[in-house]
This record gives sequence, C-alpha cells and structure tokens, in this order.
Amino acid sequence: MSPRRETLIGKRLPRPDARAKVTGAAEYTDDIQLPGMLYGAMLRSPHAHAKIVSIDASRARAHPGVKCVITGQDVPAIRYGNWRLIPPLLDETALATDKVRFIGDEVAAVAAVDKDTALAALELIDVEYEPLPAIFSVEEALAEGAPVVHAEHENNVSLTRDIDYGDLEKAFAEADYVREDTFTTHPVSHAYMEPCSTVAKCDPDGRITVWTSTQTPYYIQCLLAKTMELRENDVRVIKPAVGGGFGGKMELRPWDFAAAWMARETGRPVKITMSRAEELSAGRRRHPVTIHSKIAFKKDGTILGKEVTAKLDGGAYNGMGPTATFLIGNFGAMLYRFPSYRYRGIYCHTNNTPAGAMRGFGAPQALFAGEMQMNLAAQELGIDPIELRLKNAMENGDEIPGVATISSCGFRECLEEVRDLSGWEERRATCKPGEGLGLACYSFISGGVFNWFNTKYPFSSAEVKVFDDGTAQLTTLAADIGQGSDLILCQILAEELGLKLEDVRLVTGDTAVCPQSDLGTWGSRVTLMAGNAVRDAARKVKEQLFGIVSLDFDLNVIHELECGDGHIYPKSKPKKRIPFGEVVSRAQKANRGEPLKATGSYTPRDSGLVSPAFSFGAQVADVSVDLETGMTTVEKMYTVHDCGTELNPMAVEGQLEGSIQMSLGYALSEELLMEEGKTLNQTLLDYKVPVAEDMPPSISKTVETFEPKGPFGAKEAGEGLACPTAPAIAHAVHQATGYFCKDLPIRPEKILEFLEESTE
Amino acid sequence: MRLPAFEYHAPTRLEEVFTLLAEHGPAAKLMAGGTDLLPGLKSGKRHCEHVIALKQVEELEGLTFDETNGLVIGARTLLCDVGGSEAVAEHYPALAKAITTLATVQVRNKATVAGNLCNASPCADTATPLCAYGARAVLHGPDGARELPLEEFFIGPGQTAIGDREVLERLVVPRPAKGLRSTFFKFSSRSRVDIAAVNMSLTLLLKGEGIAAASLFLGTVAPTPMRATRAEKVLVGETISPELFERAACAARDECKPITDFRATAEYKRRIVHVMTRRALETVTTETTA
Repeated sequence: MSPRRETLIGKRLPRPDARAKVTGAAEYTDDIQLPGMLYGAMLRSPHAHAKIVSIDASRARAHPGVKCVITGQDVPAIRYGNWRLIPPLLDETALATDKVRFIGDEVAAVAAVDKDTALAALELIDVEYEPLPAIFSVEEALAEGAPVVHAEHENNVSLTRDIDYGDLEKAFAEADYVREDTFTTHPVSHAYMEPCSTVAKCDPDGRITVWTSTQTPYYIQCLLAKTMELRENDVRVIKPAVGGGFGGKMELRPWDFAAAWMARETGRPVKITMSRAEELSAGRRRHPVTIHSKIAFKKDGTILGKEVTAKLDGGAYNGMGPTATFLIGNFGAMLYRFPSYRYRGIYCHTNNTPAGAMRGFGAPQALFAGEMQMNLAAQELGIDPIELRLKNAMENGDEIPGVATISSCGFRECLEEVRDLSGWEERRATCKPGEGLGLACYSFISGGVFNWFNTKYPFSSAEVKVFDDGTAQLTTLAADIGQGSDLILCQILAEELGLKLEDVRLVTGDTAVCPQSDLGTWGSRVTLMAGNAVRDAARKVKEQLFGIVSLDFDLNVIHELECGDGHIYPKSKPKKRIPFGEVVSRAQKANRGEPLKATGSYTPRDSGLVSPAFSFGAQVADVSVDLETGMTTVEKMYTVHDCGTELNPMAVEGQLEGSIQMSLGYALSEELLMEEGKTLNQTLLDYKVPVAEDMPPSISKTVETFEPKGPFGAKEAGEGLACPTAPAIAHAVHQATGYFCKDLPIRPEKILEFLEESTE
Repeated sequence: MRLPAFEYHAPTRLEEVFTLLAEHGPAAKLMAGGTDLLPGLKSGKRHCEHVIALKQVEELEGLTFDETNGLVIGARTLLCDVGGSEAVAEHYPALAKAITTLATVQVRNKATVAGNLCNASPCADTATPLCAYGARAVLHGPDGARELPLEEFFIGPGQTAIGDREVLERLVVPRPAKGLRSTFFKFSSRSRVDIAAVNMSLTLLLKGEGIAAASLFLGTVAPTPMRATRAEKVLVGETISPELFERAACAARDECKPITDFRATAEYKRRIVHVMTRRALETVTTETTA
C-alpha cells in the first residue's frame, strides 16, 4: 500500500448522467405525466405598449375541455422578483393588470384537458387594448418627453450604479495618450436545448408541489409562495433534469405561477411548457448595452485611469437588471490595474422583450468593450497587445477598492503561455491578407457575495450522512442544470471521506428534502460555494468518526487521523487501518443508534462586494475572412486559463468547448432581430446557433494556481471562458481585414462595407 | 407550433392516390419525407385535413442510371440514396454536392428529391443542379403521364405546375454530354446545416479553350430557381479568360432578383451571386476531370 492515498482531485471523470441524456432516458419536466393532468398555455400581448381596457374570458371559459382561465383580474397583483433586498425594484406581476409593456407580455393563462384545447381557448379570450406610444432603444427611452414604460417612475431610467475611486481628473490630465470609444452589443438568446416547463400539483390541504426546469429551486419556492400568498414551507419545488439554463432559468416566471394557481383552482395538476417561438420572442435574453469608454495611458503603456458609462436596454422589466448594471462596472475594472476608475451604469426600460442574466452576466459586454479598446490602444501606442496587457496585468493580492481582493491570480502566466501556445509573434507576422490572429482576456467571479435575494439561510448547504456499509449520502439543493456540478460535489465528498465515487449517493433538487438552502446555479458559484459546504459537512462527520477510533491508535493528537481507500488510519501508520463502515457502526452504537450525519454550510465572509475568488484567462483566435463575401471562419482557438485547481479536467474542457460554441454565435451568427419590439427570428432555423460543424479546433492549457477560498483550491470555469471569444475573433478580423468591430455581431456586410469604403 | 389534426392516408398504388386526391381535393396534401410539410403545418403556414403519404406507393420507387436514358429518380427516393449513389457522384457531381451538403444526415435520411422540388422553395438545393443538367419532370394524373422540363415546373414560391389530381412521379436527367463540367455552390451564414442564402449550379461544355455550352441556374434570388440567361449568353462561344468570367458574373448579378430577408439583404445576395458565379466558372475550368 502506498503511503499517499489515491486522490480524486484532478481525475478525468466522465459525467454519470451523460448516458441517460444521450439515450433519452433522463427525465425532464415536460416528461412528467400525472393522473388527471391539465395542459396550460399563456396568452401574450400582441402590442409592445398598450393599456388593457377590458378582458372578457367568458367565451374561453365556456369552451369544451377548458377547466380554468385566469387573467390579471382574477389573481392578486403581487410584485415579485429576485431583488427582494430593494422592494421598489420589483416591478413585475405574473399577469398584466393595467398595461402590457412588451410583445409577449403575459396577459392570461388557460388550463384545459389537452394542449390543443388550451391553445384554441387562448383565441377565445377577448382583450381590448388601447395602444400606447412605445420605445425600442435606449436613445428613445432617454429622449425628452419619451413615453414612460412604468408610470410610477418619472422617466425610463429604472436605476443607476456608480463605482468611483482614484483621481480620474489627474489621470486624464497627466496622460500621454487618451482614447474614447463607443461599443454596442446586441440581444442574443440562451437557446438552451430544453425550453422552460412547469408541472404544478396542489394537495387537498392546499400545499403546492412544483416540478420546474430551473437553476434556482429556492428562489422559485420563495417567490411562488409570495405570489400565491402561501407560507414558504407550503411550497415544495422539485428540479428534474434540466437541459441548460445559462442564466435564463433563475427567476420565477409567469407560467410557474399560472400552473400553480390553476392547479389550486382546479384540484388537478397543470403542465405548461414553452414553445421555442415563445422562448425566442418572450424569453429572457442577454442585455444589449451601449458602452462608452475613455482610457488614459502613459507613453510606455501604463494605464492611468478609465471612465466607463454603460447604458443597458433592459426591456420592459427590471428582472436581474440591477445585477447586470453593477457587474458591467465591476468587469470593466478587472484584469488590469486601474489607479483610477469611474463607472456609471444606467438601466433603461424600453418596450423590448425584457433581458436577464446570461452566461457571463455583464462580462461579455464589458469585456468586448474593454478588450477591444485595449487592442486599439496597443495598436496606437505601437505596443504588442500581449505586452501591453503584461504591463498592466492584475496580480495576486491586488485590490479593487471597496469591491474585491484577488486571492489567486495566474493572469500573467496565461498571457505568456497563450503567446507560446498560439505562436503569437510568428503567426501574426506571417498572416496573409484575409488572415488574422486576435487576443482577448477575461476575469470572472466564483459566485456572488452581495445578498440581493435577501436570504436568511446560508448561501450553500449540504447534509452528509454515512452508513456502516461504507457508503455516504450527500443531500444538497445545489442545482445541476447540465454543467456537471452533481459529479463535482460527489467527487469532493468522496475525496474528503476517502471513499470511492460510486460509494456516494446524491439526493438533490427538492426543497422539501434538501437542507436550507442553496442560492442555485448562477455566477459560477456552485463548485466554490456548494463545494465548501460539502467539505464543511464532511469534516464534521469526520470529527465524529475520528473521536470514536482515536483511542485505538497510539496518537499524539487526533489530527493525525485520515480517511482514505475506504478506511480510517493514522497518517504515520497507514497500515493500522480500520474500515470506514466499521467506524460508522461503532459511532452509531456509541450514540444510541443515531444515524451519523452532519450539515455543512458556506456563506462568504470578508470577500468584498462581488465574489470570494476570481478566475483569469487569455484566448487567441485564428481566423480567415473571405474578402469577397465578408464571411469569417474561425480556424482555431487557443485558450490558457486559470481556474485554480482543476477538480475534473473533463468537466473544465466541456465548459471551454461550450463557451467557444456559445461565443462563436455571439460574435458572428446569433442575433435576435427586432422590429418595433417584435422578434423576427422565432425558430432555430432563423436564429443561427453554431452547430457542431462550425466548431473550430481548440487547444487549451490551464495555469495551476491554488485558490485559498475554493474547495481544494478550485475556482470557476463556467462563465468567464464565454467572454473573451467575441473580442478575440473581432481582433483577429481586424488584422485580417482592417475592419475594427465596435458593434456586435461581426456581420459579413459590415466587413464588406468597410472594405469598399477603404478602397474608395 | 402544434401539429394540427389531420387524417393520414398511406396508399400503395398511384390509382389510390388519384382517388384520394379526387375525394379530398384541396383539403389534401401529398407528403413524401414530410420534412417540409410537417413543419409547415406546425407553424400554421400550411393547412390541410388529409395527408396522403407517398412513401409506400410502388410506382414511385426506383433510382437507376444507364448510358442511354440517363438518371431516373423515382419520387419516393430518399436524398441519402441519391447522394450516396456512385453513378450520381460520377456523372452528376453538382447534384451529388447539393445533396450531400443539404441539411443534416437525419433530414437526408427522411427527405426526398421530389419533395425538395415540390415544396418549390426558391432556395431548394436540388433544384438548380437538376435544372442545369436539363432534368425533366414526369407528372402522372388519372388520365396518364406528361413530361415537362424541370425549369418550367416551378411557378412561384410554393407553387408548381403539378395539377390538382397529379403526382410528380419521377425525374429524368439526361446523360450529360461527354466532357460536361459542372459544379454546385451554396452560401449561408452558418455551415451546411442552414438554408442557403444563395445557391447555384453551373454546367459548362468546353471545346478546347472555347465554351460550347453553358447552363447557369441561381437559387434564392428570384421567386423560382432562375436561369441566368444573360450570363450564359456572355459565355457561350467565347474563349475562357478571367475577364470573361468577370463579365458573366456581372451579368448574373444584374439579372438576379433577390429580396431582403433574415438571411441576407438583396444587395448582399447580389454580391454573393457575383462572387460565386466567378468562382464557379474558375472551379469548373480548372478541374482536371470533367
């Protein structure tokens, strides 16, 4: 037996749920069939902005097979949202009451014996609208005398956020080189494979059970209880397998409410599943943002300061907008040392479909602007883009005043390694016309610190139970939505207890069973926060076990004990080991047969406003552009990133591949085409997500750092990677064509227009 | 986006198809692979109460090639079978390319060439190569069969020359002239799993350096697949040269009539027609084998 036990950390472990998903055996919400179940559908506003004069649902109610119709008049108009900390920001009701504010705004819901009947009944609801003038851009929203989307506000600015430190005036006064640029980004869809779906059931005692495709079961529980006027404990939320979320499934949505309300009304379960057209036209989307950025340098490339203004088109409601407004400012100040920085974020209401959280949340927009501006500055200053970054790169221990402290940082190494990996200098020097190499970088959070949901519970919790057969059970509400966190958490527990991965049973996704609580999946928080909660619980279990056996060994102190290979043993004498299950059995006997378990938790402390830990990375895109058609092909992607300890390299690689796929679309082909508030492309044929054949070869490497705040030194790898791809491609297109993209996406028409103008 | 209810008929003989068509008239739609019809019904763009499936109709069977009659494609022949045929790859490379780059494996395993044509989308990928090879459509009705050039088969978007009681029975594609060169080009903003923004097929018969015959068909840039007659005129009888190709490309660009849609603006499509025409000419004239 080797003295060092085998470790699961850093092992390439395939996903245990992969087979079930690939073969269709995995059960998603829409697969659920309950006895007597009704099918629901939502009636949506055809107007971007209109007063509801009257609603008459009598024809629909009389339609054969229709069991329930609800409108805004039939249910309490309770405002809800995730930003419970600041109630005035809650501006949404499940069903429209007096006004509709975007095309697709939910006006009524129907439950019927089958889906066709429900859809037919929607046509029989008579709504009289009085159309109002509408606004479809930030410029229109901010214009003098613009129609106001929410009458309780004076204008369409729903909130502003500021960050301000250092002496910015001095920075600009002393600068050798100042540049100002305006960047704009476009709305895109999460395009998750599984559209939103909800099944709700009401017990005879009035308690509600909801199965829903969500990233955040706990939020759904709290907000559904509020809107249904129930106590939180009267609502049970179960999360079946989820086919992707990317930020689009982290809020209570009107169909969750409508299914639950109609289940209570009818006494029968109700299922509502969104169509792809509903998802693309009325689902959440990434915020379109206009970013104005002014940056000051010394001649040698040292950054002196930066001033950023971001105007977000939030659409008709706030949703998660306040977070986005802050995060754009935060990400604008990451990566480099900015001695002075000023940010103002302005969140505007318009009559577009409301935006929400989406992978990278604020960072794809902020980093597109920030990184493109760095590339422009590098060119103007005559400094290599990598050198310019190395000169200003953040380092371990750096602080963003009042916001964050960096506790591990491999950014410099990422830059150096990606230079070697991509053959940066040589390749850039040998690019022919139509070929280019581009660079962009990222930093991202590992979970959020700011308690906007105003939870009373720990941010993450886990319960660990161990059994005398040498197995363990992990119970947690941490939500695997396809990213693979279930495996990672089991891996962390198995590692901590010295068991095999298959010895760990996982119970998850049920608010009535799992310990309170977990904030869910967003902000790349699960590995760090839920991982720490699992370790906390496991350590408490170990303490109990070690106490039982410590006298069996001639030990100086109890801390010399260790779990490994299914045994407990003193580190100095690993051969004197006792099977794990035997120790559990003895512990139970010594404690009146009580099952051996412990609950662990994690809530960040002393971690600033944003996140306990930050990941870093640098990416290079190698592209070719057809100079006659303007079509861009990404030939290869090179990525070097710092995610702390790679707990499972296969999972990290999966995140990288998915990030490249998603961001390739963001850069080149995906765009929700809007016309007067109407989304024109409502199918995946017309909304162009890159497919397998579009994927470029990808070469990647990780830089080893150890994040002291993460489990086994790990930090995020889920979202940051989705940020550098678009600016890296845009930078490469610049070398290939001379066209410098400041407004995403990079359309062939824009490249051709530039080429024509520059030859004239 | 729900598939509406309809009655499904699965006849095995053409006679039964004619009877069903007579019985249900405009309330019936013919279906081969269903990859266009069913999404059309789901989206509400198309309506019908009866679907007459053709996949079991015996007379529509068959994919044959011989030196005299050329290629015969029965209406129920799947895209994957035509795309995988060695004879098609050898004698009709533009058709083979159009099919093997059309949609996905899953769609090609279900969809048919005849269905692709009968759907009469201006961007149907099989239309331009078949037209360029001079294919003829055989339509069969209760009173017998008739034949017409495929070019004349398309009347407008979603409209064909098929009569109310008729079925597209098969396509007959003549054996290409010895030495005929051909190619298919397709342009879309995503890779091949996409509807073409522009597609085209070109055949060229060279005599030495001179162009003896040319046929150029453009897809998606007019209500039906269109013959670029002016470009053809520029080419025929001339000696190949970069200048000639440029003139032909300009002619094609000027004679096409694209509209602006999600896929691209009209202006951009014209530009693509220009570039693609020139590249198609370069490709077929530099290929070593015909």
